[in-house]
Amino acid sequence: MSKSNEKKETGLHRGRIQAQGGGVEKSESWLQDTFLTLADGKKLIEKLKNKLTKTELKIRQKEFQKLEKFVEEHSETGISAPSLGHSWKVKDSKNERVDLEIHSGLAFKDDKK
Amino acid sequence: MKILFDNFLEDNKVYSKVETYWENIVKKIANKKQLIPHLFSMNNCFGNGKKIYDGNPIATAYFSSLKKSIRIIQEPISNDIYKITGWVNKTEYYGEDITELVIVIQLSKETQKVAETLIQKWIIENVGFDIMDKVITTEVEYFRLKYSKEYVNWLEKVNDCVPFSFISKNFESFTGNKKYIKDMVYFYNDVDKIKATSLANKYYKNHKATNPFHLHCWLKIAGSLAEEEQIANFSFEEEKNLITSLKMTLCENELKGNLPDSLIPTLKTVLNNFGIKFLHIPVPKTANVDGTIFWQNNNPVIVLANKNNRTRYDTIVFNLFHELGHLFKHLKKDNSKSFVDDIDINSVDKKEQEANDYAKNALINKTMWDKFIAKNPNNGFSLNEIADFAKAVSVPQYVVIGRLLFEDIAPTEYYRFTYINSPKNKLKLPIKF
Repeated sequence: MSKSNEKKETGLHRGRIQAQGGGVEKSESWLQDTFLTLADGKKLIEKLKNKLTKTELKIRQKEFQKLEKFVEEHSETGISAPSLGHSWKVKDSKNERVDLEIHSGLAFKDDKK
Repeated sequence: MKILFDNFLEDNKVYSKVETYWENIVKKIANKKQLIPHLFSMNNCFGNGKKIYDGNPIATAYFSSLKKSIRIIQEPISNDIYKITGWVNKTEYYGEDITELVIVIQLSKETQKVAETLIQKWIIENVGFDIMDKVITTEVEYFRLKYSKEYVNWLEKVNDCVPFSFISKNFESFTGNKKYIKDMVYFYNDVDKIKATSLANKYYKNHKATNPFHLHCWLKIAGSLAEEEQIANFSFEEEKNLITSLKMTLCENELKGNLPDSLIPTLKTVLNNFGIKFLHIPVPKTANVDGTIFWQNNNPVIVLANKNNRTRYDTIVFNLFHELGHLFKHLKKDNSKSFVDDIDINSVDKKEQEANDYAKNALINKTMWDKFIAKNPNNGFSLNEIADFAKAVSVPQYVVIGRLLFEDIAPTEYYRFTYINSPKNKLKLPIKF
């Protein structure tokens, strides 16, 4: 996150994936000149999963699956910014969740398609 | 609950209607403050600009003047215990740091109202990030409770345990609002524990006429009300000054002759000045209690039961001094201790006896009292003799009368001089001869 009100450089491909809520606040972000490929995006998801404890991950297992399904389904075109985010909330929890934010550019496009 | 647009994920036309529905809700609220939202439901899309019909999000709105946004995620109807929930999030939009309110909702008439409340708080009242988090918790948990099976079970369970009608009649701040409900939930959570561990139950063992749940509620209310008071620091070293001030104030108060209105506020002022919180609050008969003393941070809290016309002036004063007895005799070394009292002058409990003795002697010096009653005339003390003695020992006359009545050496007709609000008490104190 940049300093408050500081205009960030746009035109780049930026975004982040987060595991949030229930006292957890962990994330993986990207900032690059070319769009985030599906393969690299999946690697980031795995990296985030590895940051979580077993319990934190177990709670969000289904939500990570939903995120993975979401990016797979949209990989032909990728997901474009600006987007105010997508969130998958854990069932029966108040705010435990997995977030995807694409701040600029394009992400999760399968460069092989 | 009245479900709205339940097939929105199956029919794109319905989905579009829902988007418009949300846009109108947001616009309507924003219009209250002439805020212009940048609405972009169309923004949930594939890389080629094609719309994604998954409700995640169903609507988003950005308010540039506030640097705030709203994101609404609509989920299909499910058995998730949270039909509506949300959070606040720090994110960015077009390179600028913003804060967003995220609402996750299964849309019904009822959840929509909660969503509208949250949006209103966020953009119209412009509630800050941290406070909004608490607002969401309150609204969401309250709603969850109200519409859950758990709530129905809870109601059944607490109906027997909480004196609802008594609370609503006597404690406005606990009635008809969310604080009340939350406190009741707290009671509910404690219900199972009460029997095993609570102070109320310890008391109940010796006072079978008491409903321990009602007593527990009364103690919780007392604690909650006491928390609202901000007073001076307390020091054990001020004991003598406190007792002298109290007695002096009681005498002055009696001389002014407006006891029912001024006794409690007068006592409260003195006690507060010495760092003691003091409450005189209504009590359900079922709680069967006279008073309590406990610590709140570094301040002792004395709570006396207000039994309306069952309360006597001398009893209020005696009970207060009894609790002070616990404070100075028993709470000095342990500020985790507390006492709940059904004050009985003939109690055999050692600590209760000590508190009774403290009250008696702090009010009237033992030697002087013994000399006074040694003179006990055959036909009992006259009101003149009582008034003279009261003056000599610097206490109000009703304290002497009360003591004589306790010790069965005053005619029972003297009771009428000790009651507050007693319809029979036509006389005003101090006694005029």
